[in-house]
Amino acid sequence: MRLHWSRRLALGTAALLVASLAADAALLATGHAEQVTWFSTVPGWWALLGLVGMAVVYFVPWLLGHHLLERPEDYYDRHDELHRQHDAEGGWHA
Amino acid sequence: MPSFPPALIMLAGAVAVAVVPRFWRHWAMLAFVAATLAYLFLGLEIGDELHVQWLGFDMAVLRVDKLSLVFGSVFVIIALIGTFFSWHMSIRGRQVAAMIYAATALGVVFAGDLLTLVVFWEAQAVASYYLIAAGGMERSLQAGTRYLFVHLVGGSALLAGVLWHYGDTGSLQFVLFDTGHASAWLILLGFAVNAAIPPFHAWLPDAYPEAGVTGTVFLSAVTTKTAVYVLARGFAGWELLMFAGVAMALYGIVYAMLENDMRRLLSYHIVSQVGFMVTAIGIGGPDGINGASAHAFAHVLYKGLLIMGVGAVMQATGRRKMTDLGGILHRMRWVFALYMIAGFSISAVPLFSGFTTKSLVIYAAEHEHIDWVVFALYLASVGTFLSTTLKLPYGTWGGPRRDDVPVGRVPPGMYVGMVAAAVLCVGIGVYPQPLYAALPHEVTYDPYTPSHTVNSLQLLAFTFVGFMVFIRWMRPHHGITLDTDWLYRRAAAPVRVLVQQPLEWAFGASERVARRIVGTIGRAATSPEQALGGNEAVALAERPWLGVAIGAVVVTVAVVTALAQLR
Repeated sequence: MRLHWSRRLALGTAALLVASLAADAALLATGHAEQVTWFSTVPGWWALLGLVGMAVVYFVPWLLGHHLLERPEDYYDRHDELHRQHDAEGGWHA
Repeated sequence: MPSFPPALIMLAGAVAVAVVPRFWRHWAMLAFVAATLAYLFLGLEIGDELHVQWLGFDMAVLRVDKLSLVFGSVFVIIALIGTFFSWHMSIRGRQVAAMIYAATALGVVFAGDLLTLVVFWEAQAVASYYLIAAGGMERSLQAGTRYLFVHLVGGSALLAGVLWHYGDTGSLQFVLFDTGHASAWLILLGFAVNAAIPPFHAWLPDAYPEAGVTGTVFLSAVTTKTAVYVLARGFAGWELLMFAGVAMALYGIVYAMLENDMRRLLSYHIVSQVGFMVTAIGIGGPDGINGASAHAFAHVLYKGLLIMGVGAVMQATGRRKMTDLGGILHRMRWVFALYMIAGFSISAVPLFSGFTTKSLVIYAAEHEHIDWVVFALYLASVGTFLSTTLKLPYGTWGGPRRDDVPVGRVPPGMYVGMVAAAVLCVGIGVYPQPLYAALPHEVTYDPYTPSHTVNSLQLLAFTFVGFMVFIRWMRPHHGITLDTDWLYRRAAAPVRVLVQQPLEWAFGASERVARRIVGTIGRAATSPEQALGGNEAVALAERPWLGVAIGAVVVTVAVVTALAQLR
């Protein structure tokens, strides 16, 4: 499936990026940047975490789901139905 | 007047709801829940206690401190909101169960000893089982049964731990546990089940979506947060909980991203958000306990609003899966707007409640310089924003306009409940000081620093950019995901084949043999001409019941004699 990438989205992203970096620079310049972790004052860090974090949060579940976890809707119902059928046919005694 | 447990007012309310006529039931609920809230704020004071003697035990049925008041008050507030939300629904059993459920939660948070806690804990499991099983579908009953099974196992672990603890220490006081006592680990196991700590969490996304639309509002608020309370009370600073909490925060996100069912998605987010609280408890200290308490308070409200939002959609459309919805924004604008207030709250957008409470949890980790926890919690925040506030609304309301989805009327009571929760979500976000003042320890933290505000907006804005780029990939799809409940749902088959069916066969065979023996003796007694001959036999044949009795006596004597010989 293709990515959704339009001119308007590209312009918006660019504007956000500029504003974000400017905000980081302003926080550093005015002494408002709080050094609570090693990464908290790295310019552009939060924008990067938002983008990369979003990709990680999307693709890790997708990979796990696709290869390991996902099953058809009726996975458990079908299983229960087989048991009901087995019992109706006399179960073990049949 | 001496103080008494607030649970008693709720229990009295449950009795009143059970006996008053249909028209008065809602008013009775409202009156008793409002009376409980008034009693919490006006009738109870920090330090109040009440002890009763029972079976030789000194039971502290009431202990009031700031921690119990924070949790107790939010349980009553959500009960009040839930009462409005369920105003259109008048099913006596569910209303009574909801009142009892809220009462048991209050019983737990104001319990000063472990025995009182266990009593209310077990009662809570039964009341919540009813709320789930009364969902109205066969699936509800099945999920409720699984829920009860898991919680009875957890409750048994808790009871065993409490008895062991009493044997070891001679005390039933509910205070901070020591890691050196094995009994404390058993108690922790019991609490972990209710807190939905993986791998004991699968009951939550299995059961909550199967309850009724209104019942889920109560459920989502109480069980896990009661567990958060007892963990904060008994296990603060246990480092294991910090690791478990981070795992929960990320685990819930992974599954939420895969979900198609709206309420299952939100259920996984309960796991994730409770993970934040458990992390804070594991970090411990005043910051950790404040963070867990504040976030639990806000979580009850915004999660309630999220559940109410999708509940209103279900009520109006009769659909619960995103693949069956979409394109209905133009017909449910208000519900969407109210849902988004909850979405912004859970995502910690500035001016919404999560911003002022979730940041307390992260602050606790920052204060202890545990950078990897800070990083993991921010990653979980990205996932929360992506799945709850972007993906779910997009799948439910967004997309091309659809007129083939039937959209009925949303009852006014539902709007009242949602608006009340939304006002509180915004109120805590804009002016958190009253909540901070109610927390167990003094709060010096200010969430609205330029750095925190700007960084949060950057994080969310670029997550949104990523969502827009991948928006075509975000469409929900059919299917379910396997979780640890597979172990007792699917793997039960081999157990059935290896254990249950051979036992059934053995019992069946022995039953057939016994019947044959009794039948033979009975026939010999009732048709003695064939077996015995003579007048005595004819006399017996006229009274068949006597023959059966003699046969039974003979068999019993034979069995008892044989058993005596064996000894």
